Amino acid sequence: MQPQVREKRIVFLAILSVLMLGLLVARLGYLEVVQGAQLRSLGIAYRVRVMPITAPRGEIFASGGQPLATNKPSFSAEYFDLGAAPPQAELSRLAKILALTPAALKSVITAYQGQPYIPVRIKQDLTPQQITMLDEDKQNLPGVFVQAEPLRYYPLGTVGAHVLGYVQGITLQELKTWKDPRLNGNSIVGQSGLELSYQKYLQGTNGGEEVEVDANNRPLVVLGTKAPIPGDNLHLTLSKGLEEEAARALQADINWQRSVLKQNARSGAVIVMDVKTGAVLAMTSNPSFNPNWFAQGLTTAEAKQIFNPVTSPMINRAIGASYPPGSAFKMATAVSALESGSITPSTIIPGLPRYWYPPYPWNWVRANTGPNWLAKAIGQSDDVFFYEVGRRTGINTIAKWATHLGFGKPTGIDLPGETSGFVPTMQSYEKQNGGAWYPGLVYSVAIGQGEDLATLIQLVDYTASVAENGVRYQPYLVQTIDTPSGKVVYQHKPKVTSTTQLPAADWQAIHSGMLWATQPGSIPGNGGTAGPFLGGMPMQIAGKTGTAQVAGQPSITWFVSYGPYKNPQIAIAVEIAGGVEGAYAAPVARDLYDYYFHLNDPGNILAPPAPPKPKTPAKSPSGSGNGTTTKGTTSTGTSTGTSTGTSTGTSTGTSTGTSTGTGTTPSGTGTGTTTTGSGGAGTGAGTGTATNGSGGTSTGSGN
Amino acid sequence: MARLLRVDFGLLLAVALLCAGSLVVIASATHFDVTGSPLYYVQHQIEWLVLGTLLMIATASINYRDVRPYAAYIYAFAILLLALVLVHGQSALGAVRWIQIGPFQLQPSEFAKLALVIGLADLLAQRRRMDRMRDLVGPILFAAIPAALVFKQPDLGTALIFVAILVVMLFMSGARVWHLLLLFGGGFGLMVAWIYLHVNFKVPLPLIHSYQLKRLLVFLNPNVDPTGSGYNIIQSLVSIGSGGMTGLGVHSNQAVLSFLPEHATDFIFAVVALDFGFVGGAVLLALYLGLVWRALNIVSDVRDPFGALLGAGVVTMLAVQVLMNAGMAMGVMPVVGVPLPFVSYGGSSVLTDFLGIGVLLSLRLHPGHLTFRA
Repeated sequence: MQPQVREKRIVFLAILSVLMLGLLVARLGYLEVVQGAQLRSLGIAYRVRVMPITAPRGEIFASGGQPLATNKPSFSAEYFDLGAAPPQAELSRLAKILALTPAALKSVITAYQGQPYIPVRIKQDLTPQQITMLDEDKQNLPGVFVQAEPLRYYPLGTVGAHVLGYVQGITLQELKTWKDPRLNGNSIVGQSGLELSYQKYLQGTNGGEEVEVDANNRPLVVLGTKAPIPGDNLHLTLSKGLEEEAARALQADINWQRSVLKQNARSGAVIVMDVKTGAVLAMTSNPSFNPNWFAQGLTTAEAKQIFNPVTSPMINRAIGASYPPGSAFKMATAVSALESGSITPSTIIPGLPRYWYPPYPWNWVRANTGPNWLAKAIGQSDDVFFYEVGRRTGINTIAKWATHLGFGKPTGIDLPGETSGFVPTMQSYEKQNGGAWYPGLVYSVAIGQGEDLATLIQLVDYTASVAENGVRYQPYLVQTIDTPSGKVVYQHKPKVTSTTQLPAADWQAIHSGMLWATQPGSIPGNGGTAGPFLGGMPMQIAGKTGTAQVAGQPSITWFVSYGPYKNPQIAIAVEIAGGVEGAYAAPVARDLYDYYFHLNDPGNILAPPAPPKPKTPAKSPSGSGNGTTTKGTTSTGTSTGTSTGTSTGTSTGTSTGTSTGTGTTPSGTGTGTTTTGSGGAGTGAGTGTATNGSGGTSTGSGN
Repeated sequence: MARLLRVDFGLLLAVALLCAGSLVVIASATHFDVTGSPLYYVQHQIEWLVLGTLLMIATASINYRDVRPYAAYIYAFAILLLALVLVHGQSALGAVRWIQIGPFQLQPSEFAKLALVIGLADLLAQRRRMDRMRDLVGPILFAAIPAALVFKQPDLGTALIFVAILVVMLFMSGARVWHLLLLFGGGFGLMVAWIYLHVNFKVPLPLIHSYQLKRLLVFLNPNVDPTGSGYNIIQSLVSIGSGGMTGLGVHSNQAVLSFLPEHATDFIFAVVALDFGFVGGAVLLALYLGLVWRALNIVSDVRDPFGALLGAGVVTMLAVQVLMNAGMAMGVMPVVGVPLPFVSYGGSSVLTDFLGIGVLLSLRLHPGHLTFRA
């Protein structure tokens, strides 16, 4: 090759080198200068994690300052989506450590896929072993880390669960509709009770730590920290002691009815309310659930128990279930009648075993009770008296005043899930039953049966308004809300929802009727319906029993009351489903009055066993085991004894009589009535039902 | 002593600056890699640099002509080592590139580059004419043997370097430009077309696994597989882009580095750009340009064809590695794993680079007499 050619070719190579390196420099300049910012931010997306610091939820305190819902430190396993689905091997390792199924784990992780680099909570409340195992297996579990996080804790467990509610991971639906900027897909939010209704206050604002991590997701440098702001605290009207006592007494009553009386009592609710403010001092629903289970993540067994369709422990029966109020409604009928002037306190109506207008409904006392006036009719729950009052007043007038007293619409208590109940009118009957209105329907409405539906909170609220001569307050649970630093952001002011004007004498007639109901003695005579269980109480209280039959379901028994009789302070309403009759719910109220007013009441059959005092050995064995004998010592002893005795006797008599006479279904309800009744002749019942066969709608009677 | 004055100090200066820079960058890149021993890699690199310098001096003092009789043996020995790797190699990152010799791990493909240069120089210098197409067949087959062996490892990067060395040496031996264009340009075009047909129309592609092809082509769009084969490129680009005009300084950002794989070897260019920015990267490339410039100067002064071809081969070996390494770090070339001369950490590559410089120095130090063969 010629040297000149070689020289040229070397020059060519030199130029080529300059060109190539020039291109590299140009490319370098383009990356550093033109694309620099974009590449840097891409790098930041890879390296910088915002580790949320979960803000503690606001706490909930009882009126005495005891914590009812608080937070305890715990550790959660979280997963960082690194932009790719975790391999199967990692999933199954992790599932094994956390005791989850790989499928469940995968669904948790993939639920939020598409938002990589935001941690997703896999499991709360890790055990120390689980934390150690996760730490030891760190190399094989990239993306998984353990995060300290407050865990909701309810120190009382099942007590007050329905009031407090529970918390759980937010659903996508909630995230969309609540539009709360403090929430994200990982938030734990209130799902029922106060946790839900005060979610906005209780929710804290999460803080965060901006952390630069290396390729193995190990934090290197904290770039910045934003402290979390805890949620606001709720201070309730609920008294911790009273709440616990209400739950205990209700359970004790149910146990007593089941074991001693062999009745199928199976659920119930109690509300204690301040009559002068509407403050709810206790609210319990039975069966209950443990809200801590939700916070820790439900096990299969717990889920089965909680979502049992028969016992439905998740329903707050105090506000979320409505039943015919039965005779507990009679004060509302009385108010309607007095307001409309259809009767006066001294109006006399003869008490007969049956009413004298078709469909001739029975009185629950199937005997002649002599002349009745308002107070006596309330005290002895005379049905015939109220049939006649209903006839004179008219269904729409009763509906008007019942609505005024709070029936048929939510009371507006600060809890979610309140049902409205129902107040029937002439129009509603025509609408629902296809124009089937006839005057006889008013009789069942007047005694709280038929289409009447009420919740326990409506009943306690209206009872309290009766105690306050017509001033009705909105029930409430939250007294004040303050921030963690103590600044009050909400302060409840008692809110009057309606006032009912009646002459003092009219109120007095109702009050004395309710006092009568709590008096021991015979019926007819000077005893009241709840007398057998309230006789001998050291404090005078006013009350009213109610027993409602719902077709195909166990009877609902009520006891509404207020006390002390003079200068009322609190109202107590008790509901027990499947109970014997309203009077058998009264011991719960008695126990709670005893507790609240610190009464020394040896007649309290539900009194908690008192181990430190050995001087009552005679009482303690019979305390829960043998209710009737305890009462036998009081003056009403004989009365109760005969009443139970007769009722069983008559019950069988009527049932056979009816079945031979007509063989129709309505008589079934009749049988139910006689079980609760005490008097009445078996033969009379048999013929009676036979004659009016189809008129059985109003056969239910209250007492 | 007079001979020493003929040493190309410009070339040595460029090498010295590159080596000094290398220590700084390796120190920065590997500061956190070995816990408790931040200078672990630097210490080893210094050992290699010292050894390399001694080797360079030794090579420079040998008259390159004295090596020529052994050219065929050197070539054969390199082929033998490459074959040995395939039989007894140590694998790293899915490719078998190493053999264990006593306490040392040796990467024969590095030395094979130089062996190929020597062998080819000897072969081509014997040729009277190279202007016919058939004159090219022999040298191509000659280079194809080691290229096939490293391709089998698989080490596509080194195979490509072999091809580049072959092309430039053919060019410098007087082959016609259009022959080269036809053969290598056409071959390259054919390969591209075939891969295109394979990707789009599923035309079968022999010799290469689909995952290799994917890794090879991902530089065209790293985002199709950001956590897999595109990950290295994205992280390299992020590191380079984070440097800005003047860089973030030495071991400034552990996090960025931890994401960057092979940050002391294949992707060390990205660390240079991260720590010293555009300015640092441009200075680095300018040093290489100076090195190439000085080397070409030397080559142009060599009178005998063997020496000139030797020099051209060495320059090509170094320059192509710079192009490929910096190109892959900046996402304009496939990621094939080629070290950056004098800068990447690693014994075999440093020693080979120094040997190459030694050869260039030898060309300068032993001008000799023009020997014409009849």
